[in-house]
Amino acid sequence: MKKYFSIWLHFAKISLQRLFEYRADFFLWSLVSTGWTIFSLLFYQILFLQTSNIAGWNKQQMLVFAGTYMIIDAATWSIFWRNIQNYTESIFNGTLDFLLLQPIDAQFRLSVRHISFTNVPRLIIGIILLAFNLPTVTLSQVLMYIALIFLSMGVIYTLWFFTATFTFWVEKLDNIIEIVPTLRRIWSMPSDIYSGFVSAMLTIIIPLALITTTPTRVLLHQFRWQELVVLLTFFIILFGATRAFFHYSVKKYSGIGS
Amino acid sequence: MWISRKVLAVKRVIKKWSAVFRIGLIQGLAFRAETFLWIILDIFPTFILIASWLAVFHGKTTVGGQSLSQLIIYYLAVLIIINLAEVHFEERWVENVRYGKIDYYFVKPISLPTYIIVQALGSKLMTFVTFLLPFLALMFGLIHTGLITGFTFTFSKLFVFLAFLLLAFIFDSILSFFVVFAAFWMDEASSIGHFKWMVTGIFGGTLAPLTFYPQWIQKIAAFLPFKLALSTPAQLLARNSVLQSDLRELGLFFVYVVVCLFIIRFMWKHAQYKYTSAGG
Repeated sequence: MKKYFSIWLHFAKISLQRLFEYRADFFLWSLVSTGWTIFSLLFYQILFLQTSNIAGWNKQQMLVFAGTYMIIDAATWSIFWRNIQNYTESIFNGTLDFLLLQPIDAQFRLSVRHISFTNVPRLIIGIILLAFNLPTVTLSQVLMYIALIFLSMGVIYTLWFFTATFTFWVEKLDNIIEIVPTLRRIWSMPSDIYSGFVSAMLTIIIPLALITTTPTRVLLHQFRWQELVVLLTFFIILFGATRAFFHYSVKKYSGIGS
Repeated sequence: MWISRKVLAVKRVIKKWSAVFRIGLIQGLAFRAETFLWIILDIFPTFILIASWLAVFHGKTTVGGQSLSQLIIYYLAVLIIINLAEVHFEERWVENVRYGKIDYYFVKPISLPTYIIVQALGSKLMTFVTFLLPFLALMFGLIHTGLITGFTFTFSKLFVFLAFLLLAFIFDSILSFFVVFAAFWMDEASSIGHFKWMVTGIFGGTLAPLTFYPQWIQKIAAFLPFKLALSTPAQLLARNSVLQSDLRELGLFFVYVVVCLFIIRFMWKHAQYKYTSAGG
């Protein structure tokens, strides 16, 4: 565990050095990230110009929700996007064997090699939204909130890695990694907006709608244990399935050396 | 004699264009699975938008002067425009310019911008074919569940919408050319592509009809052409008939497109002299 943490730290250090090397690049992509954050916030604003509450969420609660969404989104995008992109590219290009030969867990190596810092503004905007709209909370609530954020990130990561692993089985499908970024629209809105079969599907069977809702509820004093159980169970099953699917798929991989 | 020479020249141009068009079509066909996935990924957010508005409409018949059905038709029209009129060639060509991979296009008997646009048209045809089935399934589902009611179809509406769609395709291509040509002067032009999506998204009305936006955005959008490419034709489909103002805006859009065409012509002229590469 210690070894893996120090490797991750080392990768982070290299990524930081790259940031200082390409400062203009960092600046422009940070602007892009800020722009998209404003774009997302605009949609919440449009909705609240027409109504005072959405499925029981008032504007202040929705801003706490939006803040949580920004934090989760910025963190997952920063840590995993580039890695998942490189993962699928290495399969298509036949350069994965180089990584498979390294004396560390291949999935770990593929998942953490690069860290992007261009989403830091998005993270900061998320924290500011929380800071200005948060009701009074206890330390235990904050700790629970942080733990749930990590759980949500874990769900997104495993889902992303799982879908990306299909690359072993398809000829050429570059946009396979875009599935999860598109799916995040599901957790960009509270789970309460979904009703009927869609609600059952997105909150119990594949509980993606809970990714942002469950941590937010902790801060709003509306925490539901059932949601935590569903999300945790889903994560454990999905993580196991992803590991198994990855190891099974690697056997199918063929490359001509790199 | 003079006429026959002209006819011959036109024939030659058509032959060149159809060859490039075919390349675009073949490429679209080769990456059909990818195209299909893109379309599904484009359609998906519409579900979330509809779910969000269903929550807002809870117990109300109209919101912001629009019924739920009108709003859904608006989003479907936006979906059609995004899939059939928006182009994304800037991502590839910015890279090509940056890494000096466009040398051999300068010696081809067709200019690079013409090559790009005709090829984009070819792949759009493939997109149209792939888009049709999932879109019709979505339409059928929405009509079946009673979410779309009272949609009236008229040929005048269709005709004006198609005219807007054609201009929107040219306009979006022009915006993409701005991004590609920016790559001749700066290294990180690919990030500008995101600003293109953002600006068209915000001021075009991707998120909702522009009348739903905050006043200050509406005021800015009124001075910009982006709404003519998206919000105006989408609103037209959601309404029952074509208004005088639609035709006026169509004319205005045409003027905008012509002016922008002159600007990119000017940019291209200067960009060619800026380009350098080693080898080809």
